[in-house]
Amino acid sequence: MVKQVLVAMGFVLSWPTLAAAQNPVTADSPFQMRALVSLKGKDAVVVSNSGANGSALCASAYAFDPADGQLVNCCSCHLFPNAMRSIPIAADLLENDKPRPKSLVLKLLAAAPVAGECSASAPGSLAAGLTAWKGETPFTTATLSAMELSTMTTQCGALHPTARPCDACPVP
Amino acid sequence: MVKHALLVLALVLSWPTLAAAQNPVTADSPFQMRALVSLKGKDAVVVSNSGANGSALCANAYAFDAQDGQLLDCCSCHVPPNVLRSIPIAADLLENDKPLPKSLVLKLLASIPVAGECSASAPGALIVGLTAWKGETPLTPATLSAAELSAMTVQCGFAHPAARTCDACPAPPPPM
Repeated sequence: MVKQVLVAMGFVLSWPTLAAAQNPVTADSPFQMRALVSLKGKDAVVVSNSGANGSALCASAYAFDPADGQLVNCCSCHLFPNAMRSIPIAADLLENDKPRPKSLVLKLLAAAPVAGECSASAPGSLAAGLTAWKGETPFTTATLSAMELSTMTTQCGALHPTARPCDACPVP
Repeated sequence: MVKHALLVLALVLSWPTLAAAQNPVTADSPFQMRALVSLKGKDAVVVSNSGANGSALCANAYAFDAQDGQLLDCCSCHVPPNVLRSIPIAADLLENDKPLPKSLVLKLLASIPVAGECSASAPGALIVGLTAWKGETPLTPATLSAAELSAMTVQCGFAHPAARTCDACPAPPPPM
């Protein structure tokens, strides 16, 4: 009886650890977003890699129409530790699409490169280490559901059947 | 010995529940707030849905008098995933009430729509997924007590016996 109770205690004690593993408590968690109003032509998202993994990561960017929530465009950016890339939203992420939206919802996903390459429609395993700002304000970390991940990547794949690197991000 | 072990087990079992209830670990947790000073006529709160639930959520907004902490007004906003809504604070949330307060405390609560509809006085189950900004600054996730939840919704129910939709937020489409 005592043995069974102790086994149960061991199982229960592991819960907080599992919960901690699921909780993106740091500012460089894999999924981050911003709602952008009054978008200007020169606005850019600045991304960097804290080096949390000791290796490069892919910062995949997804822009959504603020009215209907549908994907407008996507691209991915290869980032070495401590490197910084400034991705112009209108000219790069949105490919100068006209008319330029006045507002949009922007999401970022950090993933490990797959065979050294980055793809916003087929990202590798999610990784910590991404830091991102628009202007002076860091992006907001958020909870990512499997359904939302699938929606983002599927819609991106429909737009760009082959991986599309952001123009601002040199291919390694 | 067995009794002692069971007592310890009961104590340990309560940890995750308490931690989950107290820890707003993500920025898109259900309860967020901002204290606003020098409120301007065109100030707005911008809300979005990270899609954490794969479905729409209700962003319920509550404005409180900065002096006495009493509710000034409330409304609710239906937000599908990846959609953005900009809710003017004075013209929408406060219904152009005069005089415009110079400061106020703003709280947001994210909940599941009930039968497809949103109500700030009778919200559904709380959920993650709400992201919100006022200007360039995100709202602050906070711990929600049962007493505060009750105070917010009861006061909102007095102000608006029927659910009040924020003007900036279109009603959800009717179910197919």
